[in-house]
Amino acid sequence: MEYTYYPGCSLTKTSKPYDLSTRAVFRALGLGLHELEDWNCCGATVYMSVKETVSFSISARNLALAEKMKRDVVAPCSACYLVLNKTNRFLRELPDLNAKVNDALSAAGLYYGGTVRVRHPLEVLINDLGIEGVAAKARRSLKGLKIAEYYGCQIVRPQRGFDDMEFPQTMDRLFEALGAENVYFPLKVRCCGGMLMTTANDVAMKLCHDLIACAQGNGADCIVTTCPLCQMNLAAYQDQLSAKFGEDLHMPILWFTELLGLALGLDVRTVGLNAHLERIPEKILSLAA
Amino acid sequence: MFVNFISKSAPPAFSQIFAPKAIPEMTTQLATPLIIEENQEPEHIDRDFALKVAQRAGGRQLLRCFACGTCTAGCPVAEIDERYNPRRIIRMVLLGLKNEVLRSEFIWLCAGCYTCQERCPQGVRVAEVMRALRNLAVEEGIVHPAFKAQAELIRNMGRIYEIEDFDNKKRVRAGLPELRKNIEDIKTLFERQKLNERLG
Ligand code: SF4
Ligand code: SF4
Repeated sequence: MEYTYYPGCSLTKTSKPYDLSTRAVFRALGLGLHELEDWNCCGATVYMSVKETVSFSISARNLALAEKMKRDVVAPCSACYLVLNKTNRFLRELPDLNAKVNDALSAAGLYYGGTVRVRHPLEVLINDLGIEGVAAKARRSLKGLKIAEYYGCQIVRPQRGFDDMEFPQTMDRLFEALGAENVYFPLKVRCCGGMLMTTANDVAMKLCHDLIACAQGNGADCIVTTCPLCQMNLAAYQDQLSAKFGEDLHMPILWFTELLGLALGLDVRTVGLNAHLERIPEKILSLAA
Repeated sequence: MFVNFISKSAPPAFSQIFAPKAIPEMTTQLATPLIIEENQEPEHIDRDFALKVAQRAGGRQLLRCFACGTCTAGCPVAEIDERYNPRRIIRMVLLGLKNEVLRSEFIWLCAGCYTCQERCPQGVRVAEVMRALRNLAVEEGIVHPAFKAQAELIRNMGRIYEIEDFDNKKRVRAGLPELRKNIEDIKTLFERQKLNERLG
């Protein structure tokens, strides 16, 4: 199976391991990813907030380019996944907006007919290969590893997409099939604060504290996530969090593709686990031994 | 012999059971009678504000809000900072308190987690309303500095992060095509939208 790959800004810089591991996992599973040529920013939550018509246009430029490729788009970043899907949805719902956006696109020699399906890699693996299909390719067991699966906001809401929006299970079942143990983690879809880390720091710090403390309290070895922003918020401020709340809030925060990659027999560098800000303990690194 | 198992006497008529009681006439009088004149609303009330917001993408359902508070009850930001209250913001919009809403910092506090939106029993797209309000604020010249900075990056380069030679070298080594540093199309799209806005 072949897909058009849309990495998005975060995966070129702050979330490189997510990019590496997604490409590597798809390769290992025999799925083809073809990077969308000359892609631009999805428009991001930020631009949506300040100028939505422009935002829909720059988002639709990606979709117009992808439409020519005639394949489903795979977008690992939750924010890109949400924004591209939202653009699709609003262009369908609002003919006026559609006309405006296509007029702008025509200035760049493009047209978007609204036929592109934007999908998240987790959903692609679950639906196109199936959990058994993925597990059949596993070369190592994750036995003994305790995981808190953290889905974040944007892949379960607001699309009513591929999993339950209050208590999703796809990632849980996937890692269970690979031998890991899931801890009780009721904050699966609780917000990490997102951009509030820069605009309302106190709020975001408290949200991140709650997530890490909950996972730790339930005995998780690591949190596994699907989103660049969740990973960054949870991983990059662990020293500040620990100082602020007077608790040890250090914990490895992995992208689901990294851990999946290890289970598929890939090594630590191939999935990018050597490039984390937070310390990755031996228990996880030794899985690749 | 025929036995009537149901009832010996005829049931009361429907209208008898549900006959409305006579409503006593109102005897109390207001100390000062209300005087309602045309255009007596406080100046800062914008009657059309709710409709303006409703016309934005994802805004239409706003008019159905029945103030139940489900949005606020589940909002992770409201839980930590009680000054933030999505139900209150929606209500202020519906009441036409345009300046109070657009000039408040609260519309920039929504984390965009969509919890409220998915749980709203009336289908109000609360997070989309917050986005629409930010857009309206920007049109009035009010913009949060952090948002402005990032938006400018996208406008100038087409991406949030700059692609450096170093990044492209790494990509080539990994067998990937180089990424262009600036995407001219973005400026084209931007100019065209600006032009369209000026033409109305
Ligand atoms: S949940 Fe919906 S109906 Fe209830 S107060 Fe919030 S916006 Fe209004
Ligand atoms: S989307 Fe915004 S208003 Fe709604 S629950 Fe999340 S932070 Fe609160």
